[in-house]
Amino acid sequence: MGLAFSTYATIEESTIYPTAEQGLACLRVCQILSNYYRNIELFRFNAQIGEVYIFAGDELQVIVSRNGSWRFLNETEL
Amino acid sequence: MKPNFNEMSSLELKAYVLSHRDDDEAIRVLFSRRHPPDSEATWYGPMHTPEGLPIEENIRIAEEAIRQRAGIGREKQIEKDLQREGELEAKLSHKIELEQVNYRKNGMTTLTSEEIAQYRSALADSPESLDALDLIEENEGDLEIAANLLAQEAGVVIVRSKPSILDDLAQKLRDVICDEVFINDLMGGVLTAGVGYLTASGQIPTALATALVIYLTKIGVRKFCQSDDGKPKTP
Repeated sequence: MGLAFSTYATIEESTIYPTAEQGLACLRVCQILSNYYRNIELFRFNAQIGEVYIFAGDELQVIVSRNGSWRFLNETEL
Repeated sequence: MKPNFNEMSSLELKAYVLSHRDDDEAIRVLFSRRHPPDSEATWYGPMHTPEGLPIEENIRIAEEAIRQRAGIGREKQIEKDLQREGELEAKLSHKIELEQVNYRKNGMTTLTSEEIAQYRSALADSPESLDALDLIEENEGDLEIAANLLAQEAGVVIVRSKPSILDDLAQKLRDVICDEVFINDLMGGVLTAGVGYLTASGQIPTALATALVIYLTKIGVRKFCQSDDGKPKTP
């Protein structure tokens, strides 16, 4: 497996780097979530896939892709 | 041994991810379970150009999308919190009830018919005291119930969170009770004097004072004064 504390992944697998649009999208998404009283429970950039994952509140799960667009994990829960 | 993430439910997996935050595989599996798949999902457009200039329309759309979900979520959260509060309250009420029942059961606040008869002769000169004893007898010798009824009649404030109104009253009148004159009256069996002493304090009527005097006689007035914060006052 990988180096325990590094942001980027392992020796065996290829590493994907985050993009500027992605970072800026995360900034916006997290701010909006925070403004609506949803605490950020978890935030992680996954370097194998190149996506950012966010848990907010009890029930919100967001994916931010490399081009800065984003989606909810599940659209059916409303 | 790492668990098999594909076999875990999403709920279990989420809990695992939250407690193993550097586990890339676990989080990848969790977020791979997306509905609908990427090709059919609603993707919200980027909110900044790569140089950092905001794209207002996308920001507006994003806010609206999150507001909808967070709004509903917040209502559910408030509902959940209210429900939890209600459950806690019910639990507490039940506990208090049990305490009250328990308190009455260990006999400290119940009079036998013999005891009632004895108190009747000790308090024969006071019609209000005899009324109080009638009430106690009507309630199967239960001092607490009688005291509650008398307190309500007299407009004495009852604090519901305390299991015993007699104990509560005694604490309130601790200064009057833990006085050597009063203690001696009670220990000497001069109950009418004791009742009169309490009534003279102006805080409770004769009938209720009677119940209190009987209570203190049963639990031991000196013992009461030596417990908690009170020390017997010397005149």
